[in-house]
Amino acid sequence: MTSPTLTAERSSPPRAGEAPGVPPQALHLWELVSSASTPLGVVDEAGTVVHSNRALDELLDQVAFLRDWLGEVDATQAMRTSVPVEGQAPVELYLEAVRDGHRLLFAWWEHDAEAGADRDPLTGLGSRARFERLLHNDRYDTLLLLDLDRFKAVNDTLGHNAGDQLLKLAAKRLLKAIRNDDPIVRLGGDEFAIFHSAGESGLGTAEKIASRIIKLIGGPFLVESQTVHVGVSVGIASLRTGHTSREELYRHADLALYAAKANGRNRYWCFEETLEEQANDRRAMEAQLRQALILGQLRLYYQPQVATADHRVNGIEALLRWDHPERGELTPEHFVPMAEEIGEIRSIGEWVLCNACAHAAQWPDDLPVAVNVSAGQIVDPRFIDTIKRALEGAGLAPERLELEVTESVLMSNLPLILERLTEAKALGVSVTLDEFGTGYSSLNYLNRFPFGRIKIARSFVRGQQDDPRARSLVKCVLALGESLGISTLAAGIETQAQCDALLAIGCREGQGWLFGAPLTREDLDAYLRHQLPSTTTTT
Amino acid sequence: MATDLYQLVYVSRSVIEGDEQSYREQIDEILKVSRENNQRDEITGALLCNRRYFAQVLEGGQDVVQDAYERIQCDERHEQTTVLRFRPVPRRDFGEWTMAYEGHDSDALHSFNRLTQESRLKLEELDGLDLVSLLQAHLQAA
Ligand SMILES: Cc1cc2nc3c(=O)[nH]c(=O)nc-3n(C[C@H](O)[C@H](O)[C@H](O)COP(=O)(O)O)c2cc1C
Repeated sequence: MTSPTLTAERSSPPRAGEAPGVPPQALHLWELVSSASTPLGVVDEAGTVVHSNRALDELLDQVAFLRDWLGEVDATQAMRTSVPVEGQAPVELYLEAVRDGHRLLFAWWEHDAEAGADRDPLTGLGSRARFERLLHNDRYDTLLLLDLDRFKAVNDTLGHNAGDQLLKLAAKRLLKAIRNDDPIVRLGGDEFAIFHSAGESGLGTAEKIASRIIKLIGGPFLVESQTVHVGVSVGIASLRTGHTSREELYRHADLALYAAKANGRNRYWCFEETLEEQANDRRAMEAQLRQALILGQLRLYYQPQVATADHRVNGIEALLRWDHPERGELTPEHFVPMAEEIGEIRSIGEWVLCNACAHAAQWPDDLPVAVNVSAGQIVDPRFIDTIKRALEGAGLAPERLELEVTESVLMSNLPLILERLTEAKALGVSVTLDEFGTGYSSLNYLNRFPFGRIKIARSFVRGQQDDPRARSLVKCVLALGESLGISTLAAGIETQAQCDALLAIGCREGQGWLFGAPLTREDLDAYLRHQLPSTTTTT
Repeated sequence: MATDLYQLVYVSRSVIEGDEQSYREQIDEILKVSRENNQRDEITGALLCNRRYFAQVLEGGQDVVQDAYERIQCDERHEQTTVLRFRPVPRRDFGEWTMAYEGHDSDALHSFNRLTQESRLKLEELDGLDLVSLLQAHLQAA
């Protein structure tokens, strides 16, 4: 296709039969164009404007070189070109639909350009393409990045339609929070950005906008006859307060957003130099974590699970530790979330399962081994294969493997996680609900999956001695377990008094320092040799 | 198209300040705008307020009620909106009122004052239906 030249020949609307080459059914195009208030014209095969309305006439008068527009006139989808105008924002020209053998030409001034391809179709805010351009627009010195809290949960539980509705409503509230001419774009998903010019006032106005956003988004939403609560975290970076270059504005706002989330969400955070250091630390730690397995820095410890009555061992939990070269020994909560983020969780999880199973195969009395599994591990499509391989490799009966999942793992993606756990259970392994009581709607989980065991969180165990409420809760969980035929185990038992109190209310299984600290593999072997011969004879 | 009839009940904390006179003026302003908009949108309902709280019932098509709610909840004259009830209803409870007002010296206000004067009132513990009945009873008595 050649590039036709756009010429500014105008004609009055033809009347039926008068316009050669114009089919009668196309006449309504002329009327439509004449009555429109946006600059609008009809273009023929050659790219010549054969009819234009007043607004386009004015534009054509101002921009003499419009004829240089080289557009692909046979484009069937909307296409666009930007025509520079001296001393002003460029004019955007769009070639829209082809109708009745003619083409419609639209023109916009730059500030209106988002009405076209720059617009996010769902919310009507700017699109990511617009964001890229605004990032280099000197008019704005401050960038706010925001991210809805708990949006994923809404999407997962109420469905995508509800999620979309929520995004639309949130977008409207954002528009109410800003200064009128501050552009807002949707970056994708539940992420938004606001460009702002702070002027001489420093960060003050940006912080006010952020507070207002947090207040407005924090109010309940009505979505598909439900009341839905979300929050929002905001990161702010500004050329006014640092030595930030335009290129760095986005990265700094992103670091600030990360800090807002890390500091409890539903708040705003302004970029500061220390965030850069923290980000560097994090990057260093990520690099170290990638190598931890190869360098043999990961280690398994084993903690006995016992009968509270006679301290007899009836199971063992495998606990993962990372011997960090500078930070010392780290527990999983300090690095598993990062391992999930950077995609290391699969190899780490696999290593844990294989080693724990291999070690367990050496234990006497067919003692079961409990292994903690994280969300990222379970949602990996290869999860079930990994378990199979770990069991086969070790020659361990599936019944001797117990997977422990916390409520927060379930919460992350309930349907998929339950599906995978059901598959795992079909292999013969059992599944324990860990840290029971620390999440929410636990009863719902008990109803939806046949857990083999409930582990009562250590915070309740510790509290139950002197806090009657905690004691009632523990009692309640015990009764619940009993009536559902699920065994219950109390975690974190530290003193004999705690153990006695638990025994008194019928808690038969426990774990904690009282019965033994986490042991190395070698110490565990010694412990088992010492423990088991004497206890097995007492039965 | 959501044409079903919905009823929304919410409570919120008032942040309107000033003396009695200017307070009343601001409430009148809210009522004036509400009545105009609600008539246009075929919304009916009632508003109850004292110096510290608002309680409002809105009923109408799902879309228009949702839109009105979005405008109202972003209004700077109140905060901490708590939705007590939002569900389809078979018929309107306030069919004759674009926005009935139970504010100055009414019985409903006294009941509302009692309801909201508990020293540690938790807005979310109020019952939406109680508020609807309270308002209805007083409108009928009036
Ligand atoms: C407690 C309270 C109740 C309100 N009730 C209504 C109402 O029922 N209908 C309504 O249209 N506006 C109501 N408003 C006013 C809205 O918040 C808003 O100011 C009004 O709808 C005008 O919005 P607009 O300028 O975008 O049209 C209420 C405001 C407050 C503070």
